[in-house]
Amino acid sequence: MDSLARRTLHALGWQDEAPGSEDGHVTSPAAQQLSVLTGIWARQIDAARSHGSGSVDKLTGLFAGIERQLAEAIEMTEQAAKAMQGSGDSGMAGAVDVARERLQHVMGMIESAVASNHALFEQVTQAVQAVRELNETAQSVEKISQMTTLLSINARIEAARAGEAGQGFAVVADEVRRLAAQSRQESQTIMARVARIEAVIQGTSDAAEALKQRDRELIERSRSDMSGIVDELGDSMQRVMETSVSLCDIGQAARMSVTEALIQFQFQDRVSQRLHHVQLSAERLGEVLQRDWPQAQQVDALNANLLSSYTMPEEGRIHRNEAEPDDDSDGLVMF
Amino acid sequence: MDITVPHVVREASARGDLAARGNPARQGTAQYLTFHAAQATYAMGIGTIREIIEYGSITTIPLMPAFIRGVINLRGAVVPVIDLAARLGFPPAAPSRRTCIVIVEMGHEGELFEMGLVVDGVSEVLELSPADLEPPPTFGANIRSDFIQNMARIHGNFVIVMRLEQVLSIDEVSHLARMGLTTEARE
Repeated sequence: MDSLARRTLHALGWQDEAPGSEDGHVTSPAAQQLSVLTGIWARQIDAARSHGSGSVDKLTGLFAGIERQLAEAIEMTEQAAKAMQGSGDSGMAGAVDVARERLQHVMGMIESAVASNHALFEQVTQAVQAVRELNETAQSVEKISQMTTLLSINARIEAARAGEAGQGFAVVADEVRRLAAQSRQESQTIMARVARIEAVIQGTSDAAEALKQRDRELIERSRSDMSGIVDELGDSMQRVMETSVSLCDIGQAARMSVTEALIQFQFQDRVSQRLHHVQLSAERLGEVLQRDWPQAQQVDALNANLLSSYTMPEEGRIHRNEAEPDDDSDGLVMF
Repeated sequence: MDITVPHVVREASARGDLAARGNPARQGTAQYLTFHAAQATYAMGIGTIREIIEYGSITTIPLMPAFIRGVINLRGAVVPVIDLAARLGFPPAAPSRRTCIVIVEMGHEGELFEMGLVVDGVSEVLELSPADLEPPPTFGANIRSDFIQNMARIHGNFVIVMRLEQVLSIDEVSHLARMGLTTEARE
């Protein structure tokens, strides 16, 4: 019985027994039981290995799903942002410009309609002016009739002074006075009628002026309201675009984190491999113990076998109980 | 409406030919001017009237009674102007389009002086017979009775005929005449 086997037995609390006959093929009961125990080790290690692998596989699957969903979300957000920023009439910004342009067009039509109204108002103003001139003419006619009246009365007085010689002239002067009175009456009738017309036209003119003022205010208000709405729309779109861009950035960062996490999950492969190597070694020891306590060369063979099964330099170092080198690049081999 | 001048003149001449109304030879008839002042119609004999002119360009004279409106320049002569309404005790006449000044001749101490009377408008010259005239009322008139010469029946209404020599009293005439003379002398 070599020292390794004895050390193992001691560790398990077994009594040191007298070595059995080396040539006989009678298996020692202790070796038999130790063989069973190595079987238990191997099964436990296998169970732990498969449990870890299963869990990590599931986690990896979940993370891969998250990564895919993130990728889709980023793709969609990017497309939306692109649609909004799109040049010409296709993008939302383009749509805002088109809306602004159309509003401008509508405002132009309203303004030209109002302008044609203004032309009408202009004519009304001209009518007011014409009526005033008419009134002035009627007034000057009245003035002339007034002067004629005075003239006729003066003529009548002069005729009276002339005595009998002025008789015929006095009659003419009276007739002139009557005519003057008549023309004065007519001019007053004209003035009264003109005043009525003037009142009507003035009323129309006032209404037109009020309308003009109201039109001006209406246009001003419509213009500011409409441009305000379009500006707000543009601002909202700008904010949405900015938000979607930052959403894309955040999504990208999250995606990179998940990818990093997926890489980190590959530790499970290394853990699994190591456990597998230990498990195989335990199984081989069990096989040896089935027959009898192993000989020294058998233990060496087991040792050499374990050492040869390693795939990572780190495993060998741990096996040989060596210190980890400063440059650990060999320990971080990517699969 | 038939207002063509030749026709009217012809008609007027025809009436003149009749010479019935305007005949001064008719016994006792006299001609009067009717005019407006202080929202009423008055009459005055045309014997003293020189002419009627349009109202305007009156130069006001300070320190004069309210009824003296001022003076006008009538063909180079300074003529004082009396506000008739104010003289009768009513508010002064407010000038309008029809306001005019009746230029009258007043005699004083053998001299003739021209004076102007502001009235709200003149109507017509007409002939009245003694039958158309009534003596002034003893009461019931709203102006001084010594200003009333007669009550005339004109177009069915009673019209006051002014006693002009009383309205423009001798004292006032001489006072205004002095003012007129001094102003004239200064020119």
